[in-house]
Amino acid sequence: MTSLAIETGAQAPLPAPRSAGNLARGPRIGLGYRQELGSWTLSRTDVECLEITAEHFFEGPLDHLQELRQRFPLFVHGLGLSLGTPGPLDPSTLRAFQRVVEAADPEWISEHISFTRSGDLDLGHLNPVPRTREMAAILADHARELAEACGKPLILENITTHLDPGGDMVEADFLNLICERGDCGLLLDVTNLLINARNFGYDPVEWLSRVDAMRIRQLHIVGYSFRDGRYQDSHSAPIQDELFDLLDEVLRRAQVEAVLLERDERFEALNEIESELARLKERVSGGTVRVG
Amino acid sequence: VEPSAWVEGQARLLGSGELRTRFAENPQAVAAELGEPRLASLDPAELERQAATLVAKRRHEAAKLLPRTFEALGRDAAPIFEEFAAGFWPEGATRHAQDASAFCGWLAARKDLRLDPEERLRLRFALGKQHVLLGLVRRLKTDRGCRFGLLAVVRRQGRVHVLRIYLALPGRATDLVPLR
Repeated sequence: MTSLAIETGAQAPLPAPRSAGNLARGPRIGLGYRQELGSWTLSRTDVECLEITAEHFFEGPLDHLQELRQRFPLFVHGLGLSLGTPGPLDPSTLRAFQRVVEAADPEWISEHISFTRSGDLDLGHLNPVPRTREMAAILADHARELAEACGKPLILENITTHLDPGGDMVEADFLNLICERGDCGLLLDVTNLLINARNFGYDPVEWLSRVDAMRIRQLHIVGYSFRDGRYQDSHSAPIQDELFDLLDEVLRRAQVEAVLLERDERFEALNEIESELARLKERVSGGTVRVG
Repeated sequence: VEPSAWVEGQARLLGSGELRTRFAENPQAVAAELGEPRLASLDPAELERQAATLVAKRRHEAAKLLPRTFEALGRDAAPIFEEFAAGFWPEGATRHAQDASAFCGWLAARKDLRLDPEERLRLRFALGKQHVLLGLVRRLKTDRGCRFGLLAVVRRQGRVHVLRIYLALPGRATDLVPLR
């Protein structure tokens, strides 16, 4: 069984909060970078930071990252390190991730509280782990290993799931324990929180009040879809008003550094994406939102 | 909960429809077989939903790489892909391309004429290391209908380009299609 003991290592510390002046202007608004939006993104003045998906750069040249890092503050986001799989991290995936981090020189890196593979079976997407102290220890150990290997602060993201794996504690306590033991921050996906709350029937604000707000550094947000009686994270819809309301709740509690719009579909709707960025900027700046 | 046995057992349940069917009938027996009796606490309906989400995400990515094939499959795309996906799990950073390429091979083995041969060839090339690939295609889809044609796929400065040469009446036509 993995020990919960904390060892101090060469891990980079959590990102220091920005200066009071910068924080007073609110979190930076950014985009999950997608190649389909490449030239459009480079031309934007309303995009203040970019999140790079590491796996998109595992195969092929990294020159483009140099161009992006000269233009935007970057964050590197992982999908496939499978921090929730017991045992060592996959060395080839870790090397590829490190290579992207070296090229991008991000402010911080992020991964998910989940597993994607076990043994020979690569499920290819994020799956929940049981909320136990043993699993928290595995995730925390892997978080420390990843942060140390990359020399960058790490934040971990809550996932959306249709399967409740159970466990000894509620999700918010589980996340707090992992972040504390792993000495990492939280990437709070506001949409994932709302989807899980709706599908499993709990109050997202109550969930939020239980999470250690001091750990929250970055947010993801995108509209959800509703299909077959279930809320889904299709990453294609405009942000709904109830998500903006939940975003307000988060911003009231946490000193968020960056809010990232995470669109993976319908890239042709550029006006819609522009409008979403503007709405987010207004919202985080404490302004009123013009609908439409 | 023993984490290794749990994660491995949960992964196997999510990866196998046959196992999930047996689990729904007798959770305790299957959980014991998987080496973690407490897996029996999982809800079979939730497992099915999560497994369906995994396959739907794979199908979605494959459809981005094979737009013409999926358009031709129409409403059959989801059930056909689900049947294919049950017997194959791609892995690694190129998993989406592997998945789409394997799906092409699976359709070809079934002699499903809705498979777009050009998309299949481009994917095989993109997954390989060679710089040039020539292929004869019996059913090259063109704006003049299906034609017998020659495809030349070229890798240049990390990008893949496709040269299509096909017979048309009258004369011959070519076009150069850059591939992302």
